[in-house]
Amino acid sequence: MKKTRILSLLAGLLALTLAIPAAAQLVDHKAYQNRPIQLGTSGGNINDRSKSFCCGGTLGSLLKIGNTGYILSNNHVLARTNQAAIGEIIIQPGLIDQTPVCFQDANDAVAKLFKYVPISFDKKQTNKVDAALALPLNGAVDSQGRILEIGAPGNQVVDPSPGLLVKKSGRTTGLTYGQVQAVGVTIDVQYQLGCGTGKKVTARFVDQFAVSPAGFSAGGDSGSLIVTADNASNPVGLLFAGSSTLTFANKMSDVVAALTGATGSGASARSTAQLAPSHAAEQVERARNIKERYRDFLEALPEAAGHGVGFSRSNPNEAVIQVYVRRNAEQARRSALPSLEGVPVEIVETGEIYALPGCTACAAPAKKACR
Amino acid sequence: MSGAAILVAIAIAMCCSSDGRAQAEASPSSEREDAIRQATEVKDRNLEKLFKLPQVVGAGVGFSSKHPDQPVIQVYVSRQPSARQMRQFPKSLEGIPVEIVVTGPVKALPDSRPQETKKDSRK
Repeated sequence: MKKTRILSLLAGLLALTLAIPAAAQLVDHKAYQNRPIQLGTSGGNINDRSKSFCCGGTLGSLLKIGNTGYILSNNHVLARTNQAAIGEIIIQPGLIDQTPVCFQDANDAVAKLFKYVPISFDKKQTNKVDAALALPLNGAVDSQGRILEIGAPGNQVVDPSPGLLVKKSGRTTGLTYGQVQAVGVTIDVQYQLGCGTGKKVTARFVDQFAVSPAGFSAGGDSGSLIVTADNASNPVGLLFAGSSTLTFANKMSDVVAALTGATGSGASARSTAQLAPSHAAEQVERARNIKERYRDFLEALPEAAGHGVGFSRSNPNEAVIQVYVRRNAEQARRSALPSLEGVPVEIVETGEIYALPGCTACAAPAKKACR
Repeated sequence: MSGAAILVAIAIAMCCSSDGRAQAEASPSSEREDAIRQATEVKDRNLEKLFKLPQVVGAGVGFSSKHPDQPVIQVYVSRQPSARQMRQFPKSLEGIPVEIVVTGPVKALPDSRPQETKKDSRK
């Protein structure tokens, strides 16, 4: 009995000591990274801006579903709080860390919004997760899902319990350590519908957990994966909210359930995908070979900028050949064949339509910004 | 290879089962887990009541900061309630102590910056 008390006291002390950020941040979580990028880095939706502000968060981790790794972050980071269209571009670094600030540089695209769990602001409804997935562009994201200063996380999901020591790697505060302070948390969280402007709305979250100390996170760390503090770095939760003293997070088990569960299109096949990874690898190999054989045809399509192999948007277990076109996907779709030797062909519109001018003409900043 | 994948699938299935409380770690004994589960039930039963109190933004369950073996219900408030308001807060619920935690306002954590390159808007 006494021993546990001393242990938890020690653990508390350890958490406090470790929460003090290491003298100088050697790893820059806000900087542009050469591709493939590691996670725990600045990122967000390329359209996450308003008249006066731009916003961003953390591309926290890679969630493997079947054989495909998806960038896992928050709905409010990748999907602009329910407002984004599937397929919107995700950039690294995020708008807030671009030069000039807020510059919408489509060249920095690393992924496209794949799926999000809508957040309900209805007072009578509750939420469990603020989560979204983005499908990485070919070669844009480290395939092992390594996180800056953490490495590849473990694959055993751990439920939070009071006292559990945790760590996270995020855009703003980098690598920090903390301790689970409470579980079973119900919490009302404030969101702002525009970036740094617009209506403030509240959503109630249930079955969350709280982490201390205060320095565990700050604005911009949204989307970070919280893992166990030991070397196993097993996933515990998805960081999404905070106050001046506590950080709040969704339970990883809820996040996985919500994103692989029976919501949205093509989800039913997903939970079984875990069981057949080698099959998916074979499919990708086959699709790649076919793509190479039809290379000339693909490159001759109108506005074609490139091609690759990925997984179908509607069925993540199905390998597809993707053709990236600068614009006018419809035109390319008409010229392309729907499939090549049985492998579906997807036309993906990229670039140029997003290459907007800088933000110099934008309105003067307000005095106060959201966190 | 696929054996490992199955294990992962099972692990995920376990933790996502209806009560969502698959045991996690070796450190907290099952006694502590039971205590937390029980306190969570009490908290949930009284949640509506708690949310009617001034400044309350949330509630959760943890262990007492003074007595690490004592489960408590934490009530989160956006700012320190006045002395008069404090009297409305219960000291305990169904025998479980209530701790009031001043969190400040709780917000989603994106960061935002003004479009012009004047200065970082973060605190």
